[in-house]
Amino acid sequence: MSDELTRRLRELAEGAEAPPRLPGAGIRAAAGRRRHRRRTTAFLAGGCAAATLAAVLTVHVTGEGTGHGAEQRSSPLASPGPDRSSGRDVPYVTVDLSRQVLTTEGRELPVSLDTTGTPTPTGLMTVTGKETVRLVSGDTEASAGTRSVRLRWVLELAPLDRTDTAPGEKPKPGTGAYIASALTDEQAAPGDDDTTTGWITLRPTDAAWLYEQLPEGAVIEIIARSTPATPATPAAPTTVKATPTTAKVTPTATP
Amino acid sequence: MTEEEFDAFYATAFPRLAGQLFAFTGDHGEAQDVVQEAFVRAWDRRREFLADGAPEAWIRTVAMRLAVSRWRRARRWLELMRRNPPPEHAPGPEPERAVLVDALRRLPEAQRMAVVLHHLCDLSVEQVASETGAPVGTVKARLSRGRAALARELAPGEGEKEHGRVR
Repeated sequence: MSDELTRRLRELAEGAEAPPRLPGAGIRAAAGRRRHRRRTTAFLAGGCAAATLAAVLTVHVTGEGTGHGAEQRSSPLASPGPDRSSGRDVPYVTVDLSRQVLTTEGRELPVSLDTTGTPTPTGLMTVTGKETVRLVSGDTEASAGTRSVRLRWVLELAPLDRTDTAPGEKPKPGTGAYIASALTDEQAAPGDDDTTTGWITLRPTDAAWLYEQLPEGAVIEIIARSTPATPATPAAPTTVKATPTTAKVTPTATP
Repeated sequence: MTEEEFDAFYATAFPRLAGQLFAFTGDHGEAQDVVQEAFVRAWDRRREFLADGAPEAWIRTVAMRLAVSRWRRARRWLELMRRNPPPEHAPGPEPERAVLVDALRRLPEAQRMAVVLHHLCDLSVEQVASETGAPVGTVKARLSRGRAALARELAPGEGEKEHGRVR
């Protein structure tokens, strides 16, 4: 039986031989993606307990001031964008407006959100641009039109479900929400007592961490409140006013 | 191992390993899934993988463990599958092979692994013992029981059967 069994098993295995479904490069790429996720998890397990301060923001950023002196990491148009043809837009990050919490990789980060009159855009979005620093100028109570504000760790988002974007076409940059670091180091503001005019702002350390985690093309779902204040408006930063400790960022029409 | 070397090894070894894992899992898709996953892990752990000195055996071991792990996670589903094997979507096996696949599926996991490693992958009993972490005597017993069970399935009347039990 042994020899016969060996023969039949070999025939069976040879008959079941199949070529690889992925090329070698695909295997290596999958290993790379997994390594990246593992590093992220390890980072989270280690804990990022050092919560720096957050702020109550009251800045008003003008659209024409955006981008001056900014360190552009890459053009939004160069971003790969999500694969919409697959029909699977798996949220990598969720922002729950009701809870004022950004959730990713099992971690919950408090965020500052909109005011009633200037809602944060909602829906499924993708990262279309990243800037470590965005220098914006705008009006402040003290010096209209002359104040410059350095926004850190800016993630520019564009909605995935826009009807004017064909399947496979890259989402239009500057048509969704923005995520950035809060402007001051004041503690306890994100997720608590501050508001922005549409931007999603995080504690500086959280914002820096998130910036590193999210590549262009990452998917973010911004979950609306059960009774949204007003329909989402495509956002670009516009400064209204600012003080050393408070700032408010208002989304306005796309530049 | 360079990328080119890995790719060449992958292209060469994948079909053979997929066939071996099919004998173990009885499912084409499952076999290819676990082999592919084993290669992903291999690239990520190249040092360990190469230090082993037998890269194909390393891949096979990982793939088999993955298959076992999947089964254990979905034991209830597996039981259902055993009672009602899914239709083959890939090129259907010939009747003789279908009988063998069915007979292998009916073997307990440990016996099947021992049979496949020993009779298909040419591992000695000692190597199977090392591979599976079982004592040599246990491996011998598994092989004996596995062969007896297969003999009953493949050549009815020749199996060592007594009141439904293997002697």
